[in-house]
Order: sequence, then structure tokens, then C-alpha cells
Amino acid sequence: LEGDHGRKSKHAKSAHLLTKEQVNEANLVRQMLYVFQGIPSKNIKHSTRENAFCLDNNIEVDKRDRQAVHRLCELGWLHNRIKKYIDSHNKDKALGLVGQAFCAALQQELTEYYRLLSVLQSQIQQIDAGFEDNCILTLPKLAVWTFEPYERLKWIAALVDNCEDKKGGALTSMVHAFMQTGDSSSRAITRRILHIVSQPIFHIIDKWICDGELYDPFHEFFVAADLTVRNERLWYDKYRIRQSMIPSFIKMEQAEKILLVGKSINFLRLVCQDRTKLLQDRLQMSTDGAVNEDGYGLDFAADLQVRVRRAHTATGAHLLNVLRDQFKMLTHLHALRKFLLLGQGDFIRHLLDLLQEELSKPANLLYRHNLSGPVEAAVRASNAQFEDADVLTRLDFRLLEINPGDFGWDVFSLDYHLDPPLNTLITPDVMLVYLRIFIFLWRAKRMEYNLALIWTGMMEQSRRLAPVLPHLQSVLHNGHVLAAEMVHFVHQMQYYIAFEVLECSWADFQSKLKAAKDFDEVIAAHHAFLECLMKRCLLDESSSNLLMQLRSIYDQIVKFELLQKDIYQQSTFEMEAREKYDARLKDSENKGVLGMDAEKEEEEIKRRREFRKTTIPGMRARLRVCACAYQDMVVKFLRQLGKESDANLRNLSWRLDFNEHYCSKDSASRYSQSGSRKTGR
Amino acid sequence: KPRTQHLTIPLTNISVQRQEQNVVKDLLAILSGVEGHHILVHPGEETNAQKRFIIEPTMDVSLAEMSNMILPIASSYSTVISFIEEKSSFEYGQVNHALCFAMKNIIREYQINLAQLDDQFRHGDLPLQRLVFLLQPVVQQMDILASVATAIDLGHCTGGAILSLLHNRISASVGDKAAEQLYVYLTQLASIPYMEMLEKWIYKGETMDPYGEFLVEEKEKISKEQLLEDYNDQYWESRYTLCRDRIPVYLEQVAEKILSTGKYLNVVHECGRTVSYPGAREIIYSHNRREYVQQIEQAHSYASKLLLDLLMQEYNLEARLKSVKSYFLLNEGDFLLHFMDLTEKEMRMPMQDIIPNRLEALLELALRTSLADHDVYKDDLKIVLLNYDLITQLVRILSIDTVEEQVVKSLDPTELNLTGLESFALDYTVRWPLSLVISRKSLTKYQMLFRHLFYCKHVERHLSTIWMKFKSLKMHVLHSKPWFLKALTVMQKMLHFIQNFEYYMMFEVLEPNWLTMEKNLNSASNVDDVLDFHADFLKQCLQDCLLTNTELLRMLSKLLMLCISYANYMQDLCRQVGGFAVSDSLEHSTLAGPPTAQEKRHESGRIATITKETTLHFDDLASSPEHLGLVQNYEVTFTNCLMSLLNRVAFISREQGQHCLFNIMHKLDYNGFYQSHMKDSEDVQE
Repeated sequence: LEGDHGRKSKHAKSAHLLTKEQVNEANLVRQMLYVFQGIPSKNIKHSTRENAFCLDNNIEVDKRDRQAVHRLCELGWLHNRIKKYIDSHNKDKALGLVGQAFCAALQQELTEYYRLLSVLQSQIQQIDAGFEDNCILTLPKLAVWTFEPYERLKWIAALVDNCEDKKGGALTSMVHAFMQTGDSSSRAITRRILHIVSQPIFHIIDKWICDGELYDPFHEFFVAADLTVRNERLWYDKYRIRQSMIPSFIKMEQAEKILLVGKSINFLRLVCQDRTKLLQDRLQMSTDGAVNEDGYGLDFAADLQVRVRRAHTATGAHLLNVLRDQFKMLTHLHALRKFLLLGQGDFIRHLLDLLQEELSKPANLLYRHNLSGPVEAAVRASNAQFEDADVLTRLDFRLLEINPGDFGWDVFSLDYHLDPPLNTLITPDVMLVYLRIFIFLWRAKRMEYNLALIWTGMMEQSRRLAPVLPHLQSVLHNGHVLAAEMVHFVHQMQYYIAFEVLECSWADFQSKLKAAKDFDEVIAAHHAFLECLMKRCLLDESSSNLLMQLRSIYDQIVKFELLQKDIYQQSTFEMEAREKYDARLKDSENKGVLGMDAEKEEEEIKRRREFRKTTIPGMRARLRVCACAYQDMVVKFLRQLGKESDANLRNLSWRLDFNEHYCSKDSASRYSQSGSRKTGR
Repeated sequence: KPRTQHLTIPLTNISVQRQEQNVVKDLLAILSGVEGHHILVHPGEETNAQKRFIIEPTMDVSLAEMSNMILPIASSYSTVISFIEEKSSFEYGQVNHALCFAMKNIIREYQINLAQLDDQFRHGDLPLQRLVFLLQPVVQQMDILASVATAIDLGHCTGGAILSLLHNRISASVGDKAAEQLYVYLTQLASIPYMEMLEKWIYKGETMDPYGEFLVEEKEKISKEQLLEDYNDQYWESRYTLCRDRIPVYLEQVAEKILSTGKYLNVVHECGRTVSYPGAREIIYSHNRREYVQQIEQAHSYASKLLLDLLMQEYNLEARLKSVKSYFLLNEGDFLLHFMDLTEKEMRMPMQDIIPNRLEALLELALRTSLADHDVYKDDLKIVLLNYDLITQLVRILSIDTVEEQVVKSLDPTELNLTGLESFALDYTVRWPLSLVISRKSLTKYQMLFRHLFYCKHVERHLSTIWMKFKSLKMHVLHSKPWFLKALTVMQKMLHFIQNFEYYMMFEVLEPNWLTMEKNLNSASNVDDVLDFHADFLKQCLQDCLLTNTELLRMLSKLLMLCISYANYMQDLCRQVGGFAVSDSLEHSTLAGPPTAQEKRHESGRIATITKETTLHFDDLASSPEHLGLVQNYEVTFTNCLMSLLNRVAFISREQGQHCLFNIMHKLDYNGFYQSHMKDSEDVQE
């Protein structure tokens, strides 16, 4: 040491001419300690030009020391960088909880660093005080002391650089990304910081999945709420996931589950007005939390996963229980099935009986008050009266929008009113789907009903007419055949709808309902149920063509009904005329006069002949036209059904055409077509 | 410049002792990376190159020499430091980071060392000699670090390559304890992240490899769904692959095991199970004690057992295969017979006119009314109409990588006028994870086998029907007997051929191979074995059914074609002559009770007339020489064809030692008929 001092002083003497201030090593070391904290000292200033701490140029320092000092100064620069981040963001209120936690973590690291500096400081003081003479602090020693802090601060500074303008979940993700290093000391630092930084997120998640409370004043959580959404749409629109804010250690599906849990709780509270079981849940969760408070291992979110899963099952089950027990979800779904999907046969039948007349009127002559009576009566007279009173009060009907030319049949529809929370499951949109299906089913039912009426009419009329008008028999027979064909079609259609569509889908839906673990699954199952119905009832877009065909077939049935009526009218007229004539003949016979006057007889014969020669062939022709049109339609319908991708629809086509009656017609017509094409060529 | 003043103090002016002090101080500075007064850094070099130093020429010669002994440390030091700085950034991977961490630890020790030396120097008891002595171990240490750094830099090593390098260094320095220890230290620390990845992979089947260092490479775009669709899909082979240059040397032996361990676990994982290996322990690198190998092997056997159990027990692989076999390889033939009866009309239609749904329904009908009804997997059977027939498909596959490839490719890819028979094939729905074993590729092989068998069955059926018809004709046609017998003989030959060929395929190829595979499957210890056995089975079957040899295949298809065309020809003839007779006589209703005397009389009368008519017709037909010629023609062609097939088979089985093929000879030519024929013809030629 002596020698060194001597040398130094010699240098000083030799350099005296340049009048430079000499700064010795001890002094530099002392100044360094300030620089380490980012504070410029007497000779070491921060130069903005170089963005670094620099020794004054106009002082006299050993060249080697100057380099060493320069190297050590970087520590001060790093410190400042971190400090600056903390300072600038601590005041920033919008930084959010995660940002705050990040700053706190950084501060903690800096505190650790300050502790080291204070140790160094106290060493210097001890030397100053004259103790421990042989242990002075030199620049090489300083380098050793600061070796580790330097690495640490460098790492943290890099972290800070990358997290500059991030917040919330994104910030956590960034810190998590820094875990991907093989350097175990850096990893330890990162883990320390990550632990602190992720606390707020876990806290928010905890609050959210236990209480459904979205405590997120700074929009840093990955669940976002839209406060303008009303309670009816709460389930669908209120909460959504903020993609950018999902921390990278939480998987997307997990995030979705978390969203679902909180949403369920909110739904329970706001819509179902239910608060009972949640407290218990929270208790469970918080004890769990206490156990695992400080132990996030390498599998960072493993613990979270367990908790989320548990919360998910608990809330999902609770919500479903509430919906089932308190709000009778199943009862109402059953009611929908019974009324809107015509499950309650006797009620529907009765309703048809009662409304038959009313609904045959043009739609604009229909009044609600005329209809409410029959509906009520139908309920009272059928087994529907044993339904829950709650269900019956909700049952209603509505008249749809009237298009010109519509009949009552086209606009009448049953309706069912639902309150929250069940209107989340059956929203107005879903209700519309129900109504559409109802109309379809209603029309099919009406066809069946009408055909039954026609059949009765036929039996009655033919018994009456056939003995009197023998020539009419073939016409009547043709009518019967056509009617039978139609009955077959409609019955098969009804069978298909009742058993293959409604019953199967309903059973599917029921089993899915039973297996459902959360409300989303229930909604999905219900949706699938309706979609299936729509598809198989030909109501979806792709089969609109088929539906049109079916519609025209139904129209043809209605036309046939009218035609049949017409025929009966004409024949009845004829029959009556004949009966009248016969009666008069008999009358006169009784009076002893044989025969009629020739003129009347002539007239009678003429009328009879005309009936036989023109009216009957006319009838027959009309019937044939009707039958042909009908069969063409059916063939077309079948052909299209056969091309359908849904196996059920294809089955329907086989069912309708079980003995390939129409198929042969179809191929015959096609054959003749292709044949004619061939000859044409 | 003011600072240069120090340099102006020439060393020559001061005593050697003072010089020594200055030199020691300079050396200490240089060692910690700071340029000194008298020893300068050689300027103007590339940054990566090793640093060189200039010693002031005025320095005492011996001092300068002594300094030269220490200076290598400084240059190594600078290399190491720049290495650490560069490789600590993210893109160089975790192994590099860990290695840097280890180096940093050593550097820290070194700096402490320096600080102590500095302290000693300040107290005045550090002559240059002592410094040199004290630094001796450091010289080697730094040299080692620097050489490692340069080697990694030069080789652009990451991940496994670094570990290999270090491991090799250890092996190469066993004699030098100090160096060995240092290397072991470096390797141990550097392999920590790698071993973590390894643990994740072999215990959980997850890859966590953001920088591409691990020996297993995952290709995300190869998904398991493709297994069901893509013919050329290589999920099992390509989803996870070994990356040769990333394997550390010391894991080389177990690399395949590591790969398959993770792969197995992944499959289990994809089946929706959570995998937790009970014996999971930390894997630590050690040079000599190879505990990790044992750990890896344990994990491997656990994983392979897990997956094998899953496939065999949970997913009933064997039952599945049996089910596939019973449909594709006609194990339970009754369903097929039934199906052929049902679809006779469809099979003759052009492919475009067939309604697949109808076929599907008929297939279901056939399934449910046959033995197959007991198969729980029967619903997975489907039909498919392919737009190429079997021969085209096979020829195309076989011609891949041969000269003919271009020629075959240039042919029109879709034949439009295929009949249902030619385009028909079964298909099977296979779900994950069974699709690993029964992939699209192997299913296609099953399909080819099936189509082959199906076609043979069809030929046999066709021939038999005609045979039956002619049998019933026999009682009517007595006059034209010689010609008639000739025709029947040809048919009999054909029947013999086709039936025996079928027998050969079923009982000498499929069944024994199947049994072998079954036995093998029961003894299989891991899934790779299972895959291999299954592939072997299919390959063997295809080969022995003559489907892999283009030449044999051509001959065979020609033979079958001959049979079919002959059957068609005979059918035409039959229809011309006595179609009505056959159909009528067969259609006596048994429901009406035994025929009455009158009916009998009527019947015999009818038969007499029919006989008269058919005989007339037949004589007409048969007397025309073209028919006789035709039949003879058929016979000659058939015999020639068959003989050349037999010849070829004999040749192949002799040359290539495929003894199974030779069984065809025994079957088709059991009494040496054709052989003698062959000899005769040879004699004639001679």
C-alpha cells in the first residue's frame, strides 16, 4: 500500500504541471457507491449524450481505474432504468393492479440491492473509522461484490424494457415468457417477480369464481363485462373474453371455464335472485386458497386448474338445480313439448274440433276474443286441465302477421309465455323457432283431420248416392282411391313427424339434459334439439324447396276436398231431382195414372243422359287431373327426399313409397323422357 | 492528450523491482479485462477473435516473458466473457443459458481470486513469480472455458449438440482430474434445462421446447384426424421425430426409447386421459453412473404398457381386428353371400347410377340377417364406390418408383364405365386411437384384399349359376352331347381353378398369417411391435395373394376375365335356348302340396315338348361350327394362361424362395395334369 501511495504521489507530482485534480481510488470507490444508486457524484456525472455515467474528463485518474469505474457505472445506469420505470408508473393510476404488483416486485428487488450497498457503505465507514485496516474496499473488490447484483439488475432491466407498455394479463404473460430461460438464477428472479405479479390476477379470479364479482377497475382481467346489457341477455352478451389479457399460463379452455363460472354466479344472483349456496362455496375456496397461497410451483397454474374445475362443477350443478327445482325448467320444457309441439294429442284434437269453423274464415275476420273461448274450452275438456296451474296460465295463442289471402289456419298459433330466468334458455328468437315448428305441425295435423272428415263424408255420401246413381260409382271409386293415397301420405308424414322426429330428438334432448353439467350445455342441447327439429321438419334453409313441395301437396289435398264437395253437391242435386221425379211418378201411379206426360219424361231422360254423358265424365276428368297433379307432386317430393343427406329424410321417402309405387312411376316418366330425348337426337 | 502521460514514463528509467510492481499491477488489470499501461490490447482485430496483447518493448525481458505466461488467461477471459454476453440472449436456447450460468459462476470465483490477489498486491507481498504461481490452475481453467466457448461458437451449437460436445470433452480428459471436474461441472449445470425437458417428455408426453433444442421435434400440422382420411398420412412416423443432431451423445442409445415413450404418452393423452407416471424422479446427468438410462427405461416400459393396455383392453384392438377381418377377409362369409344375392342388380349397373344409400341399406340388411349380427362393431362397416378398379389401383401403386410410372400416370385417371362390381369396396370407420393401427393405409390394403376376394367370389358365383342351369338342361339335350360335354368340361376346369385358388387364399395365406399375427400380438410388448406385426401381416397377405407382382397379377386378372367372359357367353347361350324351361321347372310351388296325377301328367307332357324344342334349338346352335370353335378357343386360351401362370409361380418360388406360392401349384395342379400337358407341348415344340 505504501508503495502504491508513493507511486501515486509521484505521478501527481509529475502531472502537477497540468493542474488536474487527482482523485484516488478510495475516493472513487466512495463515489461509486452513490453512482450505484443512480446518484451522480462529484466526479462521476450522468452524461445524456452517451446515456451513461462518465468520469469527468478533467480529473486525473489512473487509466486502469478509469476503465474499471466505467464498467461498474453500468450498474448505476441499470438501476436508474428500473427506478425510472417504477417512478413513472407508480403515479400512473391507469396502470392497474398487475402493474402495481410489478412495481412492488421491482421495488423489492431494488431494496435487496440497497441492502448490499448499505453493507458496502458500512465497510467504508469502518475503514474511515480506522477499524479493519487491512480490508479496505478496492475497485476489484467492488467488482466482486457487484457481480451478482449486476446480473440481476441486467435481467430485470431487460424485463422492464419488454414490459414497458403492457398491463394486466399481457404483462403477466410477458413475465411468464421470461421464465423460458435455462439460466437458473435468472429463472429464480423471474419466478419471484411472477409470483408477485400474478397475485392480483389470481385474486381477481378468486373473487370472480367465488362471488361473481368482477373487481377489475383497470380492465386488466381477461373477462370483460358490458354493463349496458340487460338481464335478459346477460347470459349471451354481458361477459366476454379479452383475448389479449389471458396470461400465457392459463389455457384458453380454462379461461372459458372461468368465464362460465363467474357468469353462472352472476346469472344466479341477478336473474334467478338466488344467493343461498354461494357463501358455503366461498368458504371452501378460501381455505383452499390459504393452503396454496404461496406455493406456485413450476406448473404454475396446476393448482388453479383444480380450483377452477371444482368451482365449475359446483356452480354449474347449483345453477341447474335452481333452474330445475325453483324454476321448473323441465316442467316448462315438457309444456312446450305438449302444446307447441303437439305432444298432448287429445287437447290438440279437441282444439281442432272447436276451431275448425272459426279458422276456415279469412284471416282478417279473425278476432282474439272469438278464439280465446275455444282454446280455454279445449284445455278444460282434455287432460291438459291436470297440468300445473302455472303452466296453464302461461299457455296462450297468438295471431301471426296476416298476408293477403291467408286463412285462419295460416295465422293461428299457440304461444307460451316464459319469465326470467327461463327466457334465457328460450329467448324470443328461440320462441319464434318453436312457433315455426308449431305451424308446420299444425298444418300437418289439420291435413290429417281434414282427410278424416273427407273420409267420413265419402262413406256417408257413397252409401247414399251409389244405389241411386249407378253410373257415379266409378267416379266415387276414383275419389276413394285418391283419398286413400292421400291418407297414406299424410299418415306416414304424421308418423314420421311424431316418432322419427319429435320423439327421437326429444329423447336425445332428455338424455343430454340429464348429462349436462352447466347451463351452457343445456342451452347447446336445446339448440341442437331445435336445429334437429328444423332440419327434419324441412324448415331450415337448405330444404325450403322440399317444404314448398310439401306445401303444394297439402294445397292439393285442400283442393281435392273442395272438388269432392263439388262432386257431392252435383250428384246430390241430381239424386234429389231423380228422387223427386220418381216420387212424383209413384204418386201419380198411386193416383192411378200410369206414366208421366211425355214432355216431362223427355226432360227427365234428357237430364239423366246429360248427367251421364257430360257431368260424370267432367267429374272424372277433374278427379283425374287432381290425381295426376297430386301424384306428380309426390313423385317430385320423393325424388328430392331421396337426395337429402339426412338419413331420416331418406327413410321418410322409403316409408312413403314402401312398395315403390311412385318410384316405378318416376322411372317410367324418366325413361320415357330419356327415350324421347334419344329419338329426338 | 493528457492521459498519455503515463506511457511517457519509460520503463527503462526505473529499476527492475519497480518495473515488476508496475507489471504486476498492469497484469492484474488486464486479467480483469482492463487495459494496462505497459501491456496494451492489440487493436484492430475482429471482436470475436482471440485478444492479443502488446508488451512494451522497453520492459525487462524476463518480466515480459513471465507476463507472457499469464496473458493467455486474459485473452481466454475476454473470449469467455463475450461468449457469455452473446449466448445469454434468448434465441440461443436454454442449454446455452445454463452453460452461461455455469461459466458465470466460474468467472465469479475467478474475480474473487483476482480481488484477493489485488489485496495481496496492495499489501506488497505479490511478486510476479508468486502471481504466476498462484495463477497456474486458472490458466488451465480459463483455457478450457475459452476452448468450449470457441467450439460452440464455431459449431453454432445449441441444445443437445452442446451437451454432446461437453460430454465428449469429459471422456477425452479423464486423465486430467482438474479438467475433468470442470467439464463435469459445466455439463451438469448445462444439462439441467435439457433434463427438465426430458422429464416433461417422458413423464408427461409434453414438449416444452421454445428454442428447438430437444431431441424430439413436434410437427403440429400433422394431426391425428388425417389418419382417417389421408392415404399417405404418417402421423405415427412424422408427428414426432427424432432430430439427430440434437441428441446428446450420452442419450444416443436411448434416443429411440425416449421418442417412443413420449409418443405413447401422447396417444394416451389424446385419448383424453391424464397421464401421471408414479415413478417420476428428477433426472440428473452424471458422467459415469448411468442412472438416467435406467430411469428412462423404466418410464418407457411404463408408457408402452400403458398404451398397450389401453389399446388392447380399453379399445379392444384384437376384437376390432377380428371384426375387420371378418368383413374384409371374408372370415364369416355368410354375410357376403347374402349381400351378393341382394345386390345382384346393383353390381351390374354402371357406377354412376348406383344409389350408395341403397347399397348401404342392403349391406345393413345382409349384416343383420347373418352371423355378423353378433358383432358389436358391425355399425362401423360402410361401403364405398371407388372410381378405379382393383387392377388399375394395384398397377398404379406397383409402378411407383419404376420406369413405367410415367406411362401409367399418363393414362386416363378415371375410368368412367365401371360397373358396380368393379368399383365396390367396403370401408370401415376407425376411431382414434385405433386409427394408429388401422390407418387409412392399412385399411386400403384390406380393401385391396377384399376387392380381390370379392371379385373371385363373384366369378365363382357366376360360374356356378351357369353350371347349375346347364345341369338342368342336360336332361333335355341329348343329341348334341359331345359339344355340350366339351363346354361343360371347360367350365369345370374354370370352376376348379377358381375354387382352388380361393381355397389357397383363404386357408393357406390368410388364415395362417392371421394366426401368426394373433400369436405375435399377444406377445407384443409395445405398440411399435403391434404396428409392425400388423403391417407384416398385410404385406405377407398381399404378396401371397399375388397382388404385389405386376406380372402375376396381369396373368391372374386375365384368367378371371376369361372365366367371366366364358360364363357370360354360356349364359347368353342358355338364355337363347332354354331360359324358359329352366325358370319354369324350377318354379313349382311347394305350397300347393304334392302334384296331383293330372299335374304330373301335364308336367311330363310339358317337359317332353320343351325337350323337343330345346333340342331343336340346341342342335341348331351347336351344329354351327362357330360355337364349337369358340368353346375350343376358350379352352386353349384358358389352359395356356393357366399354364403360364403356373410356370411363372414355379419360377418365382424357385428363384426367390417364396414357398407359400408353391402351394398354388399343389392346389391347382394336384394331379399333375397341367404339368404333363406342359411337357406334351414342350415335346411338340421340340
